[in-house]
Amino acid sequence: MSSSTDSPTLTTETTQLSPQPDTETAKPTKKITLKSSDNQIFEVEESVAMEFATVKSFFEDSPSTDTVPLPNVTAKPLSQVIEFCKEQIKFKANPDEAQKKKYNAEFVTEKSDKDLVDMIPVANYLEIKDLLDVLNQAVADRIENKSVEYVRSFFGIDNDFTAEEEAALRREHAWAYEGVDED
Amino acid sequence: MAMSLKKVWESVTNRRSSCSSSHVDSVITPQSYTESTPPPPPPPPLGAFDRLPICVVFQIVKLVGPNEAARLSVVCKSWRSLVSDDRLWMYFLQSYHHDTWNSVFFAETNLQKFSCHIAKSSFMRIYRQRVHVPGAVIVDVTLLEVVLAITSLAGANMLALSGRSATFSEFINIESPSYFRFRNFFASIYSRMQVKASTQPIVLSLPLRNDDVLHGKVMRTMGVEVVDVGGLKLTEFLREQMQQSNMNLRSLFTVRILKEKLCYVAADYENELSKDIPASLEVPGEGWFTLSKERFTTGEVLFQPHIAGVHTKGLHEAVALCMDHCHVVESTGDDAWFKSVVLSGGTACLPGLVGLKKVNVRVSSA
Repeated sequence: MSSSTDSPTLTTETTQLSPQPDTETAKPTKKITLKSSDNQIFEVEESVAMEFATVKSFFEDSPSTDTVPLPNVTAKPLSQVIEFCKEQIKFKANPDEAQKKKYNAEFVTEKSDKDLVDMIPVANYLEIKDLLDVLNQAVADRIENKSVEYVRSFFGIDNDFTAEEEAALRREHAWAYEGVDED
Repeated sequence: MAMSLKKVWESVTNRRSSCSSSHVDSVITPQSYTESTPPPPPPPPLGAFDRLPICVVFQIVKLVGPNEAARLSVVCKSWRSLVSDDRLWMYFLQSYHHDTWNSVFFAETNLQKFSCHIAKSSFMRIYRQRVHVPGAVIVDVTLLEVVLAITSLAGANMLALSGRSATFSEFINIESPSYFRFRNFFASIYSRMQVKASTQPIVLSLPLRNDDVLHGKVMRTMGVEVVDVGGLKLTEFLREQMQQSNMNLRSLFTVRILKEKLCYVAADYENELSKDIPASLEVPGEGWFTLSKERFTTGEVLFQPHIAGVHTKGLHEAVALCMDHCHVVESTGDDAWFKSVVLSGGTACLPGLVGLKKVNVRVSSA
C-alpha cells in the first residue's frame, strides 16, 4: 500500500483534484472503485465513498463488490462531488465551522452555472445531503431576483407557454414582480 | 402531476425522516422525475434540468422565497404546477408571514366550510391576498364560539373625546353562523359608537370576513392580531380545574354556565391568589357548585395563555400589537382613538376584563 497522503488515483484525464495536504494521518485505507456512466473509473478512499449514502447502502447490501457502477452519474460532476466530500471529511476530523463555511462558499462560487446544476442530480442520487443543501442554496442565490428568462436559460428550460398564457400568468403574479434585477 | 408531486413529497418526507438510515428505497426513484423526463439512464449530455428531481427543485423554490416562487410559475408548465403546490405556500405562510400559522390555517380551511362568501382557494392565492392586506385577520380559534374579536375604531374622534371604553358582546355559533347576524352586530357597534360605517374603519374578525371587505380600503388601514385563546378554551380550562378539585362534569355546557356566572378577571392576579373568594351557583338539574381560585385563574388564561398550556400572546399584548399596526399605518398622529378598544364576544363579558385590559395595555405599550 502506498503512502496514504496520496490523493485518490484517478484514471481519467478530465478531472483535476486538489492534492490532499500532508496533515492526513498515516494509516492504510481501503479504496473503493466508482464507475461513472461514461465508463470512467474513480478510486476513492473508503471514508470518502461512505459519504455517499447510496454507495454506502450498496456496500451494506453486497459487501463483496469492489466496483460500484453509477449509471446516473457522469465523470465531471462526480469528480467535483468527490472533491467536496474529501474536504468535508477533513472538517469532520477537525471541526471548524468557519473554515467549512468558507470552503463551501468558495466551492460553489467558483463553479459555473452548468457545473452547479450538473452536480445537483449527482448529489441527490448519491444522497450527499450536505452538498445538496449547499448546491440548492447556491442555485437559489443565483436565480434570486432574476427575470424568468434568466431562470429559463439558467436551467436550460424551454418555455412551453403560449404568449397569451404567459401574459395571463404574469398579470396574475404581478404582485411578485417587485425588485427584479436586470439580468 | 398532482399525484406524482404527492409521491415526491412523500419521498421527501421519508427521506428526511430516514436520513441517517439511508436505505436503497429512499433513493429517489425515476418516477419522481418530471413528467416530461425520460428515465435517467442514459442521461442526456447537457439537459441538466431534465434530470433535476422535483423534490430538489422544490427545495430550491423554498429557498428563493415566495415572491420569486410566484414568478417562477411563468418559467414553464411543469414549474407552474410545482410552485402552485399548497404545501409550498403553507411553508411560506409559516415562515414568511407574521400571522400565526394556526390562525391562518384555521381561518382558511375550517372557516371556508360554512361561508358561502369564501370560495376555496389555493394557499398560493391566500398568500397573495395576505400580501395585499398586511396585518389582516383576527380569529378566535374556538370551533364553537366566536368570541373576543378585538375591534378598534380608528379615527373616531368623537369616541376619543368621550374616552369611554365599550364592551360589545355577541355570541355566535360558528357551526351555524349567520352572516346577517354579524352584519347586525357590527351595525350595532357603529350605531352605538355613533360613527358611520362609510367613514370609520372597523376590524373584522376573520369569521366575518368577506372578500369585499377584505379588499376594501377598510381592512388595509387596520392592524389585527390573533389571540389563540377563546371561550371554548376557557371553558375547557375551567373543566380541567374542576376535575382537579374532584368536580367531574360531563357536560361542557354546565361548565360554561359556571364560567359565565362565576368567573371574573382579577385586577391583580398574584394578589388574588392569596385570597379565598368562593362563590356558589346552582345549575338546574346539576346541583350546586362552588368555585374559588378557578373563578379568576380561568379569566387569567386570556392574559397568560401559558397557564392553560397554550403558547400564544395574551390579550393585552394583542391589543398593544394592534395599536402598533394601526400606528404604523395611521399617519394622522392622533393617538387619542386608542382609548377606545372594543371587545366583542361572550368572553368579553367576564367581569373585570375591561378594566384590567386597560392597565395591561398601558403597561405593554409603554
